Amino acid sequence: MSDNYGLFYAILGAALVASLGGFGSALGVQMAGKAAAGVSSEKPELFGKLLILQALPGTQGIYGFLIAVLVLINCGVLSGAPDVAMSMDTGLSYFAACIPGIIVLPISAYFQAKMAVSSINMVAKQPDASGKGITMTVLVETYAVLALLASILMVTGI
Amino acid sequence: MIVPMKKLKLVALKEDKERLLVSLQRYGEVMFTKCNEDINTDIDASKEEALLQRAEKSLLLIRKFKEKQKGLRNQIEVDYDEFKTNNPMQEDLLKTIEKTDEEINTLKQENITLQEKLAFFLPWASLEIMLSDLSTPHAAIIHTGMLEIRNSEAFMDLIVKYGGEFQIISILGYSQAIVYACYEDDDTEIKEQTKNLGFTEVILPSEKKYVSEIILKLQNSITNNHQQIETLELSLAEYANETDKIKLFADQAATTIMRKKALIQETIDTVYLEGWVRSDRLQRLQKSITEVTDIYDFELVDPEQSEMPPTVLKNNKFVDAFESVTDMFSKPNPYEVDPNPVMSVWYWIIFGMMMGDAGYGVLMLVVVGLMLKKMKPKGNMRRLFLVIFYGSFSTIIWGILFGSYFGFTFFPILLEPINEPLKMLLVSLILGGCHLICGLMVKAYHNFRDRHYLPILSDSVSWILLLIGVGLLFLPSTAEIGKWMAISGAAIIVLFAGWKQKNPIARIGIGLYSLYGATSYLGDILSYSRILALAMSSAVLGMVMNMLAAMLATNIIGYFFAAIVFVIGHVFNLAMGLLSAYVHTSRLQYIEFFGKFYEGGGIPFQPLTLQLKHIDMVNDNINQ
Repeated sequence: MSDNYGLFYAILGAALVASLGGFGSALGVQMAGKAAAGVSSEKPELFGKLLILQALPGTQGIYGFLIAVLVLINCGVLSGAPDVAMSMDTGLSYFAACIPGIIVLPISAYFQAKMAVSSINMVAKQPDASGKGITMTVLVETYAVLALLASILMVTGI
Repeated sequence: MIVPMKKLKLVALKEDKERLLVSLQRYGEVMFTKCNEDINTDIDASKEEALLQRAEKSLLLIRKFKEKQKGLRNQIEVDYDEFKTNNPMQEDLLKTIEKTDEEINTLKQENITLQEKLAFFLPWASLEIMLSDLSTPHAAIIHTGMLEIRNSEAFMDLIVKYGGEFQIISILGYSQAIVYACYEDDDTEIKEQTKNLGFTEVILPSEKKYVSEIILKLQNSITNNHQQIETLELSLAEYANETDKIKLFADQAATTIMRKKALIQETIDTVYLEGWVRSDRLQRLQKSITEVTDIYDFELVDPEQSEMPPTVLKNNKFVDAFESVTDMFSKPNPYEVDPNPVMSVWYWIIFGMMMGDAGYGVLMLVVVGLMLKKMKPKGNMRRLFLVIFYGSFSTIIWGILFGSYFGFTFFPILLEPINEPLKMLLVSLILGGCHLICGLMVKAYHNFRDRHYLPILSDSVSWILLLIGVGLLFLPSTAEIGKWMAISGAAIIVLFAGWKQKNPIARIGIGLYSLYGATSYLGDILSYSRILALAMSSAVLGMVMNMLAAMLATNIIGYFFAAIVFVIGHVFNLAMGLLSAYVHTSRLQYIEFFGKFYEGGGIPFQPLTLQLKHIDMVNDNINQ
């Protein structure tokens, strides 16, 4: 073990981004799922459409995981040869690169879930409008995608 | 392409009305419209509606008795001749099913009453005298009732004090069934005091029977009823074999309701109707009328500007599948260019790029191909399956270009998304730029068709020049050309975007404002970075699954678990990837692509036709 904590900060960033992305998505899928379950008790034939809407806030968890894996690949953790001599600068840079994901992913998952709940209620009244509901809900995800992109560019650029 | 519609105005004799409607419905070519304000829309079809409801209810009733078929549902097909004839047997069948159901319900209700009675008598099962003897006057008076166990000692003392006798018949939770006897003279006094102890009198009916006899009889009738219910349910299960007949009956009733409610105006001797018809099927329409009558007059007119005819699309098999994607957003209105032929190709390309794994592509091809073949889904479900089916080819092609096979990498031809995200981002954005330019070109085509030539220059050519020009700026060798293209594009926008304005200052003002729209183009193009995000997330997840499997695969048991992890992991990743690719590709079409030219708002073509909810197909020689 070297004296600096470079690798630790890199892994801390990866851990936080995977955890918070997963946290946001779990919360979001749960919120949307509750609404979807309520609707499908009355209208079971809408299950397919509701399932898509419920799954939408689930992507943030995957994005967080994706950033974490990229960091771990770059630190050599996944190839079994962790870069223990990583400098403090590099380690903190990895941590910084995770920040867009850490902040945006859970928040966007939460708000996307709120949007999904509204869309689910809309689909309950107007099953034909599910395409519109899905589109409106997916719009929220744009910013999670951009945060993911920012993190990816930073991680691969270090 | 969008099929032009014509408006049919038809007059015929009233005596031919029914036959005419039947024929029109058989051919299914006319979507009736309200030809007159005071037309009677409130037509009584309550008899058929009641029949339809009964049929649906019977279907529900026998559904639970239907044997689970192995594998898949078979198709129900009938000939048209069978469909049009009302079989009186079917109504009898309904009646029998309803009667059976009613009997079952009565028996069940009866059993509930019997059970209650049984529960009343059960505590007294071991009473050793006949019920009628309880009230026969002797010197003593006999009481029966319930008492809480905690008061039983006080109760015993009381009875013994008055020289009476008692017996505990049974214990029921915290209370017990007690019978006691006392002298007639003491009765009122004891009654008073036992009441204070919480003794509640139970009055047993006075019959010349033992309680055990009554219980036996009750139990017998309950079992008897159960047996009867079982037999009746068996016979219901038998009717489940007749499901197809009831389904036919339900569809026939729905068809009749539809026909009865057709918007048709009557005079003393004639009937008049208006409706939309497809201009490419006029021969069929003519045939549907001449087949039933010679005495008619009809006229076909083009829709007026103020009218909104329904939208009918006619495309090849490939494009047809992707119509479901556009329909989820909005149907094209009849006055615009059908976006589907162009959209379908882009959807196909982008969908495959987001999936981006040859192994997954092959899996999709096989699984969805088999499902299409075996399940024979109908309507939009079928189209959705077809979108994935066609998309699997694109997925395989991109997978080979990326060199990705179930998360393993072999010889990437183009690039490897995980290791070269910048290159992948560039490819995504360039593809996005092409997608947007294509949208602008569709708009130009629309304007060209409508002979609006100036907007082609100001709305399409200008932006295309600007987009390509800015793109070329990034390459040193073409930067000079790019610069001038971008400048000329921007100049055209400033000069011509406000072409509707006469005032030159206002015109330039609008032009400058339009140029500000360039920011939205920036956002649009950046939005295509999601292609990178999705391609990468499915690639990384696939890679992680392989890594997990490899970690486990150390000995024989390990290989077994590794195989499980590998299969479940990839199936999960494929399912999530499919969902994401489906919604995000749709979004790129709806927001970025359609935003450039598409209006939508068309209404579906719903002609008077056979109502097939349960029946899969009616075979009719007119359709060949």
